[in-house]
Amino acid sequence: MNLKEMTGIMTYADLPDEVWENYWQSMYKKLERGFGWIFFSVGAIALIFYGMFQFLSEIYQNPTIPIFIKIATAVLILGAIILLVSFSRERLFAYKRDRYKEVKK
Amino acid sequence: MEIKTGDKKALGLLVNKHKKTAFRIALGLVGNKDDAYDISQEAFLRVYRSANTYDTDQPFLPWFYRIISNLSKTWLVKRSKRENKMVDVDDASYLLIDSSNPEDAMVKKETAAYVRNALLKLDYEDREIITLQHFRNMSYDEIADLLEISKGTVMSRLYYARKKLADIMRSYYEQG
Repeated sequence: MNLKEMTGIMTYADLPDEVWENYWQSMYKKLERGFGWIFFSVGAIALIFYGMFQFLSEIYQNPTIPIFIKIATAVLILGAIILLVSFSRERLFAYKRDRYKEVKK
Repeated sequence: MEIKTGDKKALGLLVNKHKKTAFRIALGLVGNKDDAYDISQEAFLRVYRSANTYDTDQPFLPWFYRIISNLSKTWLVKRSKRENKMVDVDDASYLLIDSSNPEDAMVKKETAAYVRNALLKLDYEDREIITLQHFRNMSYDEIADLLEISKGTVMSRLYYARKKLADIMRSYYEQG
């Protein structure tokens, strides 16, 4: 039996009818949830930045807050920045050596 | 293409028209029904999100095929990283044989299992070209248009892909 004969007797498996009937509904839910996540993320990021701005303003403009809290906050922010730079550099390093980077994600 | 304006009804019509094609293309590339189902749905979502980049003067199917193909490649890379193997060869139910003739059904069934497993062992590009020619019954010209390569390249890729498939099949038969 040659390849053409072999493949000629083979067909792709199909899905049950009810799966096809619900295909659009199931996809529509994914579409809706995708939009939901986008709006949720944008809102959350905006609120987080606003909260951070308010928090830092309060810390550094309020003379009653002890100096060690101000220093600790500055150190915390410095640590976060160092971690962010370090992770970003690692990701960039991995990306440059990724054999599959031409594959769209 | 009304989808460009964000029309969800138009997307629904497009989905109903092409959902089975999308599923079968993905199934041929990833060899797993659940993954093919997810990939086909994700492909339609990509069409909806990137409809603005689609040139309406060009045929829809090659553009759509590239989306499915890119998603399938990414899926396989992720799966190979996760499972440390290219494809799940245990899930061999994605290709079925025509068992209308019970006389040689056993031989056909065994052969089909060899073909399935051999296909799943091929490189992505080889499996893609074999799938398009042998399972989607596309002509050289149609494949060339779809993959945006020359007819000569299609023939050459098919030649080497068939050769590799035959080698894998031969090793199966030798192992018994």
